[in-house]
Amino acid sequence: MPEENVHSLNQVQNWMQAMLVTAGEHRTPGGTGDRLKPEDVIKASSNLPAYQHLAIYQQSYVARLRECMRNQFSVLAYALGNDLFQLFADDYLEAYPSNSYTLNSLGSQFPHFLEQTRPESDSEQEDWPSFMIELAQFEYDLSVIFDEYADEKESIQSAAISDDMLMSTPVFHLFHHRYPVCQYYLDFTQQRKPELPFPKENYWAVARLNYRLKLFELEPMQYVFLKSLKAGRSIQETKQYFLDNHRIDPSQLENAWGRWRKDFIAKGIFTRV
Amino acid sequence: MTPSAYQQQIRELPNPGLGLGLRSKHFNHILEQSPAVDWFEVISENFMDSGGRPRYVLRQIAERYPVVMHGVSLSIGSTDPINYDYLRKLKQLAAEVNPLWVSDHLCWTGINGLNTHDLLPVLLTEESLMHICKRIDQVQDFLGRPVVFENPSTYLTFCQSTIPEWDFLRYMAEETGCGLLLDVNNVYVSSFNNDFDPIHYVRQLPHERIVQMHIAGHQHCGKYIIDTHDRKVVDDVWELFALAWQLTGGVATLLEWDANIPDFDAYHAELLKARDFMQEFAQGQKLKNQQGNSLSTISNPVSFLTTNLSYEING
Repeated sequence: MPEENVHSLNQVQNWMQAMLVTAGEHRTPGGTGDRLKPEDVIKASSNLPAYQHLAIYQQSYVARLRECMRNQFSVLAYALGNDLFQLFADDYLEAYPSNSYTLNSLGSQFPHFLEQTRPESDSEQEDWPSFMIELAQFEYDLSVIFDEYADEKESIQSAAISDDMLMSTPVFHLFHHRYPVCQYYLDFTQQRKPELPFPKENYWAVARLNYRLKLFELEPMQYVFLKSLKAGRSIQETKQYFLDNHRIDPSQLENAWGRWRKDFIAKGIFTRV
Repeated sequence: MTPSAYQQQIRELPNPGLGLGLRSKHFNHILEQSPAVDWFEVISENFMDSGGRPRYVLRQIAERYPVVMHGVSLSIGSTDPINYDYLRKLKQLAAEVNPLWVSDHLCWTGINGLNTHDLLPVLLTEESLMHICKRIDQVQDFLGRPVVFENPSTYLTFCQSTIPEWDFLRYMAEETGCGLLLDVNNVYVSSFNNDFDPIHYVRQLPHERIVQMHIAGHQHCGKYIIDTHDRKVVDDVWELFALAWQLTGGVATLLEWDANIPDFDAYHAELLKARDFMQEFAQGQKLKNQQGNSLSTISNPVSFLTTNLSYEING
């Protein structure tokens, strides 16, 4: 083999990765700047020339990661349509090639990327990019919540327990969206083929119960109450926080709390302190 | 620990029989039905970062069945530094599920901090061999156990490569004491793509170092073959498997199925053909099997490595 065609292990790996990830924008490191050709590095076989051997890896690289993105953002892919989703996913993978050993974080920057590259919109009624960005973030958040480290505890089944013994389950998250992304997500997972929704402020909770995710919608005041609990306040402190910060009288609050308490226990989101 | 000590550990590994890859789609079936499978191979990366249901399920399965941990991200051939964060998690998972052994691939997955999530072919040269052996030493010493390395399916040969892959694997095992996982389908796929004789490859391997075999289905695309893991095993691979079975004296065998994953019973039935085939082979008969059709042409499919929430949501 001619000496100019002998490359170090590191050079060969740099070259091959560049051919996959950046479609070949690579020059010989420390060399004359001449572009390496596939046939300089790869042998032709009886069936294929060198560049086609490389092409198998190139095509698989894109197809494999596209499929992972579609798997991770299946609801977003439905909302955007497969072709548009693929365009966004391909651009994203080019801008943010994976730098982790785990594919579960492949899409971690996708919502941010969609925000960065969102098309201009002059109508709030047609602000579909905002919906897509919220949906992408929610879908990624769900995958993180699903695998979150926590010792799960049994939910309280009976209302016969004092308030000071109640706390939210270890894996419990609250969402406030401009678009009804949670309902859209649920509709999709239940094969209801949802249509692009109009903006509608909404509040949801996601709890992981017995290692499965449960989604349920909240009233705005329930959201504020649970947010306060999540911030570390006890139920008694939360009630006081409510009275101090919201226009509600004590009897109204007690009535509401009685109703919410029953509802939250029925949904399984409380565990014993 | 010395390479000879690791080699001794490899020699003492048991043969648990016929195993299946553990896939999330089958979690409930396995937990509820406790099917008669000899052992399960788990993809380490599917569980090592999980604090949720996958790890919870794995802990239960590891209590009922022997488990082997199979990784795809060690990147033993890369010129990047070893990722000790990854290794720490791998070691922690191994301590938790007590696998029979830990395996990965003779490959690299990326460089300069990037990960292509492919099992890329290594340069088969002396420089590369020394580099990889040094890294295997480091990994085995960190994990405190020998690692078992699989021959990947390859789609190219580097002009600079001077050592046949079977010899590369032999030298690697001799130098480090590591074990080998012979993927019979990968030999078949690589031989077609790179113009070598698969029977010669299997005959030349150090059979006493092989602790496990993989069998799988592939997609024949005319001028090349893609290792798709999405269908039944073809006759030629079964025959190569029979040869390897004979030469190794029989080792733990696993059927890989990573895309278009069938229901558990169909998956298990395909694995049990290995047992039928061993018996028929012993009687001098041949098993005939038809190749399925599919449009999938992604090599080393990995989408099953991402979390699929479709079974895990309640409204």
